[in-house]
Amino acid sequence: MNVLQRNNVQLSGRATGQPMVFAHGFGCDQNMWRFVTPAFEDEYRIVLFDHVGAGRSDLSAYNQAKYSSLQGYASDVLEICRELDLTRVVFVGHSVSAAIGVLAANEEPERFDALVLVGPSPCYIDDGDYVGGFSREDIEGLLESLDSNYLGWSSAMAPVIMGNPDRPELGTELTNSFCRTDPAIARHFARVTFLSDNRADFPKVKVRSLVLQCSEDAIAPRCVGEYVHRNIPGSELVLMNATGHCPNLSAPEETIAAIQRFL
Amino acid sequence: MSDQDGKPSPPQPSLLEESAEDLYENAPCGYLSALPGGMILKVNQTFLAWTGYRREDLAGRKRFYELLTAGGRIFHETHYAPLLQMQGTVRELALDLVCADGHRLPVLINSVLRKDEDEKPLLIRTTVFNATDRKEYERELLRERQRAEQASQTKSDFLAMISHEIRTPLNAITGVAHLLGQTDLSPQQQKLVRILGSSSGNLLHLVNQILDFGKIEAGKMSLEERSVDLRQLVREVAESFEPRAQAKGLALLVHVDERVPRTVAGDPMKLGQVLSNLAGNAIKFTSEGSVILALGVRTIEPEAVSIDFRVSDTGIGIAPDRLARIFDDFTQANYDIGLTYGGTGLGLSISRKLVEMHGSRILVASEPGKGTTFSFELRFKTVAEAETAPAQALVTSGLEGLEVLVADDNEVNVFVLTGLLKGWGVAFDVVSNGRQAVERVRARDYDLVLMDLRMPELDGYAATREIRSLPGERFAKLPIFALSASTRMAHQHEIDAAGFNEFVGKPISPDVLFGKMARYAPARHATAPR
Repeated sequence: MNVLQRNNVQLSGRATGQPMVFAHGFGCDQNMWRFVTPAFEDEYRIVLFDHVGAGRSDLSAYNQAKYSSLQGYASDVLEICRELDLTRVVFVGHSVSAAIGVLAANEEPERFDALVLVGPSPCYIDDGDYVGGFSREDIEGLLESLDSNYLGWSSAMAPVIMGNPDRPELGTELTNSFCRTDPAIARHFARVTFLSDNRADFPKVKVRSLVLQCSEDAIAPRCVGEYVHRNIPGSELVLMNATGHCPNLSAPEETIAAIQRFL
Repeated sequence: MSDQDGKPSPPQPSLLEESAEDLYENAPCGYLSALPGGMILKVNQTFLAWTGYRREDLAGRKRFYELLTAGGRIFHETHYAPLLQMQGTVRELALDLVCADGHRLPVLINSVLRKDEDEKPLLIRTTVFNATDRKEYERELLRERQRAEQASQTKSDFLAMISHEIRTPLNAITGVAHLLGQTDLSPQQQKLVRILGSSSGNLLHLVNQILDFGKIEAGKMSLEERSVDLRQLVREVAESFEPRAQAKGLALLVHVDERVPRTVAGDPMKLGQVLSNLAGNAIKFTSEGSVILALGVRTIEPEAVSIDFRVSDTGIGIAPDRLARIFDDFTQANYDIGLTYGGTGLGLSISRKLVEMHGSRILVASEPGKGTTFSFELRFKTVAEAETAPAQALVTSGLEGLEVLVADDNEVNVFVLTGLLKGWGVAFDVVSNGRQAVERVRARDYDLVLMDLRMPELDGYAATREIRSLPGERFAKLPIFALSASTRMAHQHEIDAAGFNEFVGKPISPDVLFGKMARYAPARHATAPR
């Protein structure tokens, strides 16, 4: 099967430029990079994709066994890189995709030039002295939230069809809705994401890395960002003014500036 | 209110304000305004009444997501927040609020992100609906769905169990038909035995498919990875269909791209099953011409290879409007197909699922009257040749004079099995449980043991483990075959752990058993290839 179709790979920017691969996190799709990528288009080749199960990826390519660990997603990233013959890749991963990027870069370090980890967490569950921020019961609670929101009556995650008379340019996009996810896959992805433990993988990173940590991130608290920074040899940590878990959406300028300084 | 002329007079501004305030505070929904980062600025009385918080607990003190459960907070941050920032609105998100006294209030929230002229977010305005009743209905709905799924599962389990039970008597029927065919028969009797043999063979195939299907459905099937010789695999499949192709006067061809590596890491059983399904179909639906099994190479990398598998025929073809549905469960291209050609339509859907387990997809191209091509592409890691186990003596040696111990408590099985052994000139002893098997093996130097897995007193696993643990090299080297009506996959792990050399599925296929026994026959018994 064609990898580029499977992951709905979208290319833009300078065709001969150094490639920047942007990977979205759980709950979203490649749309979440929309405020960030334009800033890099002149200089870089922009590679956007949807993880299998999200956005416009090929849902039939979803395979419970393959995607039962983040390794399955990492192998997709590498397949995309191979298919496009990408080298010197700057990988920008948000949330769970930060860990996915770490796994991919550990498997083929020679392919990557840099990792930009936005709100990374190697492990979301508290474990002994390690503070991930959540317990297993919390994750069960998340699955409940997913169930109630994907159930037929809730329209939040269903395609939004609405008129936008004052902003017609948004019309067509809105009818397709952002961040579409197949409910069953979202459930499985949630489990795989939030129950994953990749603490052993972060110290193995050989690629230069930037950790972007928001202030007051409810998903990846500051202590986790600092843990990541301590555990990736030679990494750089930037504490952002932006709050929340998605600085690429809430504070795109600050995010862009931090990435540009690093690169 | 009206003046003396009867015209309504405008209400006083202060009254309007008061009623707007009243509407806001006591609306049948909660209102909440927050900064873009989530800090609550203002809430209405309804929200406070529902949640039990005081105004001063919230305004300027808490972020909205802090009122959620931990799981809800993740959902909020991974779904609500990005959606709101991208869409500007979020509708009907279901969340649980944690109230002041700790109890949970199911709510639906709608939010709008207010922006200034420069598109800079200013304020989030959220409307909160009490969803207690709805939640109750949803739970009921989920419960009922689970109940329905469970009922369906119970039926699937029952089907699998029955299919499994059918295999034991089938074992006897196919075995006896085979033995009967080797006796002196009149031409009429030979014909009857042939029908008996082929019909029971078909039935067995069907039962196996039902079992496989059930296993895939239940998610109990997983891929193995060991070294596979793809060229040999495809040739073996072709050879197994050669008699059927010949009987129909079809040319059955194998094309293998020279660049296909000798060995790759894959699951030979499942690949073989897919190819057999496709080849079987191709032969079934082709009355003249040819069936081609082809292996092509898409891409070669230092440690991996993408192989294109292709099964094409010159058969009846499939109408375009039917193409999309042929991979569905229990579906044939049309009703007449079932009548004319037989089958359940399970083969293709099993093949589709097996290929999907590999992360790929079967494609089909067809032209009615011209033929059909099924193809799929799989990526394998290549295996260095040195890593593969040295090939065992594959020369077909005779089995005459071999001394075998048969351990099986089922009389019919023993009858069938010993009938085969007699025919091959093999000497044998029979015991009916694992305990006796261990004793006999200690007392006598057998060439090989055929061990049923399910036996009284001591089962096949335990007996084999015990034999392996006996002191002496011969007990470590003694070839022991596991016999079982279960499929190999179900017990692979235990079979390996117990120390069996081979697995032979029941009903026993004489050719398979002969081939495997010949491989382990010591040289002194080997006779020249026939």
